[in-house]
Amino acid sequence: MTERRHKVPITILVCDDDPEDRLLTERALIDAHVANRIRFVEDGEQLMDYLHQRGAFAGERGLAPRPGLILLDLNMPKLDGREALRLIKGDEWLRSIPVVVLTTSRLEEDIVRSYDLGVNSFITKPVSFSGLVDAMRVLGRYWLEIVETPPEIEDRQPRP
Amino acid sequence: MTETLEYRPDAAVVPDRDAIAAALPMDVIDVLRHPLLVLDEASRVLRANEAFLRTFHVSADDTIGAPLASLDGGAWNQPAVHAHLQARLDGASDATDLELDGVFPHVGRRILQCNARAFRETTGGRRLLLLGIEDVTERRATSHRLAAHGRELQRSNEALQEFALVASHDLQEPLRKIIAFGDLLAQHAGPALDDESRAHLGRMQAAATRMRELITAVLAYAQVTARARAFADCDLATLVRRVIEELEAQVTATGAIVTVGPLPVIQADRQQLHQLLTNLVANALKYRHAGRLPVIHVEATTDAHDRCVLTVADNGIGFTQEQGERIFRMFERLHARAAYAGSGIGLAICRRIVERHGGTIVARAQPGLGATFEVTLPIAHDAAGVAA
Repeated sequence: MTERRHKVPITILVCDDDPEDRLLTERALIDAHVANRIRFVEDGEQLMDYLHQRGAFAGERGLAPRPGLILLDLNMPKLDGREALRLIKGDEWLRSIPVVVLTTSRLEEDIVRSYDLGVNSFITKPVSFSGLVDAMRVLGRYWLEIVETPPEIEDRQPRP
Repeated sequence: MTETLEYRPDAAVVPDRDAIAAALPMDVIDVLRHPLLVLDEASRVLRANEAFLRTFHVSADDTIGAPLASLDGGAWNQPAVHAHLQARLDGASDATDLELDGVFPHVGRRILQCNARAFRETTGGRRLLLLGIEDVTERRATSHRLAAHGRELQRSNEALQEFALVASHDLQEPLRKIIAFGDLLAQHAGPALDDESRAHLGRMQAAATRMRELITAVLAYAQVTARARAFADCDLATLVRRVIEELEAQVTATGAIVTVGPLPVIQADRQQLHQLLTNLVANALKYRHAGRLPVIHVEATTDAHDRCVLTVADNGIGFTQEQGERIFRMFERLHARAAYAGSGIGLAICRRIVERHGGTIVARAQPGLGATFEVTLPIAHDAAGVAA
């Protein structure tokens, strides 16, 4: 049952280039009592470095623990969210990590494209803070409590 | 076109010029509003009408008898003119106009469209030429100005469109943060604030939210053309049914009776028609009369020009004729925001959608009795999206 999985808290990886939005997301996760490790990266490139434990995230495992959930913004510099999503869902080692797009965009083409690329959920950032807290509470409950996801295989190594 | 002009001379024997005068009496060629010359086979001017003398500011004495090539300081002495005249003398009946661009001593640069016809004089039997001339200089200049003006207008329209889209999109971002952090502040520090400060914070939040609504409205308005899709067959009956289903909650809450008459299939941007119908039906539900159950009827007929005339009629609060002319303007509101929420953009969007489809929208109403919105739309469009 779910108990098996949550002895160890899951890492939630938030990828957003906007410092205020990172702050709001973190605050909302805390207020929603989604008590997990929260890590932040600021663009798609950093996200891929994190997931492959290279660059600034190379070395000791634990510095970049494999996330149990990725919250991904779409419009970012360097490597944007769409491209990062394509890379994650095209990678056999990463594709089982649930990715939730959390963006200001409500463009139909963004929604369709994200699902085409294999996103697990698409959420348009709520305007109010309480709306964001609600969204984080539902997300946390769904992905961390209700849904069964493949266990984190600690000894599975990222590909070079 | 006949090549031979038949006429009956007054006298048995007449000199050349008199023969022509008899053939084409002054009042025939002089009533023509465009310049006209009669030339002999050697392109000598036999007759020039009033319009010719007036147009080129020349006298009859300087013109009659002179070779065409020497007229107006040689402005007519162009290979194309000679070729055109020779072709007519050789029997060509091509109706193509000759365009002549020349500088005339008394009137400056002119663009002329000319066409000559050859005919044979009955008396004397000479072959003559009638050269009809039209000065199109002004018309050309005007049409160039108009085209340039049109291009400029389109450019500025696109720039404005782009501006509205970018501005409203980029304005939303900081505003979203003002609202979110304001929210956060109210939640975390609210209890520690005194009543007055809490109220101020509330006013700030309300104003920011209001501004967000307005920006969203501008964005929606700008997107009518920015997000335009190609026209395809749309079954209005299906579309209206879907709109009513989507508004089910409001229909049930208000106890409204919505009836739908016959509706055709027309060529349109389906998403935009969906938005148009949603706005109109939602409006009818919103401005219902407190004293009676809302009754809304949607139907369409075909007018004399084969266009679809769609009407959405309600028995709501209505409005005056003067108000009916204002309601399609952007941010125009007839009622206080406290009474009816909204941005005041719904009908402006409706009008923009209808105009993009080459149609018209009008509102008829009587205060306290109800309103009818009438949308006239072309049923079909050609490939370029122009109403057929």
